Amino acid sequence: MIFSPLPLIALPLVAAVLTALLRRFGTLSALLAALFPALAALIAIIFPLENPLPLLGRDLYLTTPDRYALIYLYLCASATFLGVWRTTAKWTYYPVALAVLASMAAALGARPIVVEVIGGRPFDPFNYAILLFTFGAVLTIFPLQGGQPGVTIGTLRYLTFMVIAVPIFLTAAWILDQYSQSPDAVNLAQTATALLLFGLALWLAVLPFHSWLPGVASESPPLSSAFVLGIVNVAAFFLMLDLVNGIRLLADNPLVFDVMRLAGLVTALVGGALAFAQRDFGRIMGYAVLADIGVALVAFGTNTASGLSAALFVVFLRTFGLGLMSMGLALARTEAPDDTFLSLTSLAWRRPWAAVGLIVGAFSLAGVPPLAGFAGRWGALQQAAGSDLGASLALVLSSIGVVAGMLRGLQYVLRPIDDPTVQPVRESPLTVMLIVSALVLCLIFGLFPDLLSPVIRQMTASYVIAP
Amino acid sequence: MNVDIAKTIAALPGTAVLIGLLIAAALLVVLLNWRLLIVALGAQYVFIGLMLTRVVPIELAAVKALVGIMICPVLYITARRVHWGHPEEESDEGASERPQRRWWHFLGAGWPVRVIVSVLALAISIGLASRSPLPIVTDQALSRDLTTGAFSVMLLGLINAALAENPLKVGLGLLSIMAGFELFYTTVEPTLTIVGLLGLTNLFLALAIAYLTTAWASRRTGVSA
Repeated sequence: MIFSPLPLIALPLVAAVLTALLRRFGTLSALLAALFPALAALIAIIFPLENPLPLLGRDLYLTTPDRYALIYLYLCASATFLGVWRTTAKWTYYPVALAVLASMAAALGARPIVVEVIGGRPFDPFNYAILLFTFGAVLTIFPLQGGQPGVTIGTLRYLTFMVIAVPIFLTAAWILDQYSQSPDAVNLAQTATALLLFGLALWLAVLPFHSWLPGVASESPPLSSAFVLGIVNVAAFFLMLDLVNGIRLLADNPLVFDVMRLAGLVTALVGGALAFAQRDFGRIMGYAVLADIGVALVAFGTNTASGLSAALFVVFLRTFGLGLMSMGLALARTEAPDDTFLSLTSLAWRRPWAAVGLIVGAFSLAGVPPLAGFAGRWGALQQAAGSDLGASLALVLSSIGVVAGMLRGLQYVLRPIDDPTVQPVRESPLTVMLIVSALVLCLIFGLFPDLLSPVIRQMTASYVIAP
Repeated sequence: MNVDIAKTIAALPGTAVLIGLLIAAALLVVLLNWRLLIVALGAQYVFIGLMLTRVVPIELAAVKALVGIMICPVLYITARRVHWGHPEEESDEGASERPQRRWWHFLGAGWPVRVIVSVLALAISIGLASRSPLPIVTDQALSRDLTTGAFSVMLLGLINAALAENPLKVGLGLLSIMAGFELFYTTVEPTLTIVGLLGLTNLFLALAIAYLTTAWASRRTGVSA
């Protein structure tokens, strides 16, 4: 049982209880919140955790890709908690976010005891994974709203899309069950496929179900947005990979990949175009992530092993840009009422480290070389170019849109202060260390993306979707 | 006189229960008064429980209804705590100058539109369910009733979630979507674990709605939720 996913679920839950009990001791809570997921990730790195964990009549066990996905999610969460500690004083963030993390781990590990057979092929019923993921997604609204008076639109939209996806996925599971009894009923297979794609589009914020994304990115505390966009959304991406891998009906249907590619292209293009039109850094971050989601889908939609690798690179390398940008925004927001260009005028002179995080993070998200985001985008671009020149042009345009939007904002951020008496704010050494570490990692992974290759190669080999 | 009251209630005619369910679901769209909304939500859960007694064991149907009914006090306390429905800057002077309200004031402004939308939604879902009922049970009439109930409650819930902007109404819509879906899904997947997990999802959702409602209402005072 010890070498099962139990530590990955139990450690965040223990940490959630501890941080709730020790809420008066902000630093201790933050350190515990950061330490426990890091410890869980370390356990997952050292031990394979392959044994099944029986839970509620099911077995929870981790496949190789899910194990790597959880290591990634836990390390990201750990870094996010450190960022929250340095920028906000809301104690409620830690216990809720840790419970969300445990819920995501359980969702990724949920497997049935008996694998059913549909149309002569094994089928992994996924209703437990859907419900466990939904628990986490619903709980996320607490840090997302962040106790701000009257600010609910983005969070409410997010909640709406996450809840609407539940009936869609569970109905698809039921229809697949019907299909297992009558494998000749093509209409059942088509309906289930359409419902699954619809549900995935809702979860991943694919156009036109993206309306919560800019709202959340501009309204919510930046590191809470980063948690949703860098952890919950990524967990949804890995669940998508599990679904496509587990349901051969999806993996064997080339139309599914065509739809994903097209949806990804439109999402990337619209994300880039809308990022250009914003006058708010938070919204630029939201649309940049939207474009990034689209790029990952385009790469995955090529239905090749190298396409899947490129998609995984995009998803993994998103973290650095997103983390830096949200950290910069969180620091900037401590003295500005919002993220609009006007409110952050002269930020580079008032809070230089915040400006550095914001600018470098945004450029990494846009895929500007030599930052981490570029390595992911470059792989996706190569995949898209191999199949369709128009698609690769669309991906380039999406990056240009985000960069152009950011350049418009830079005019304000870099504007000198008129008042010579204003002195720049001195950030604490820990805050500076966090930003510098993220910057260095962003550069290292941008220059040497092959550092991730062994992990991604193993993950790609475990998925059987590519021919 | 050892009559099981639950079994007596469960023996109510199916059509009457379905009509009750459709009325409760429609009222959730039409009404704005929070007290009436929460009563309608409770009634909707009771009717769903009653409908389920026809296809699953009465104990399971009772659990479904009870989970729903447990949600109502959560929302009631929240709405009451945040003085839901009170005009934002109402003063005594303002109140005395306010024109006398008509008897239908409890329906709120714009009620004719909401009534029309609800009637249309009911017509669409009844038409759809009559033409192609889901193959839930072998009894055709029962399948049609369950499909009608599930489609109507889900569609009206979706309308509520789409039309409203305040978290309480949107939340009622989301709870209705889940309730309508469970009416169908409990019939086809009556395993206790799934029923339990869905119940937990509903409770988490109710907590989330209560939190967002408090945050939304706190814009008047500026005090964080």
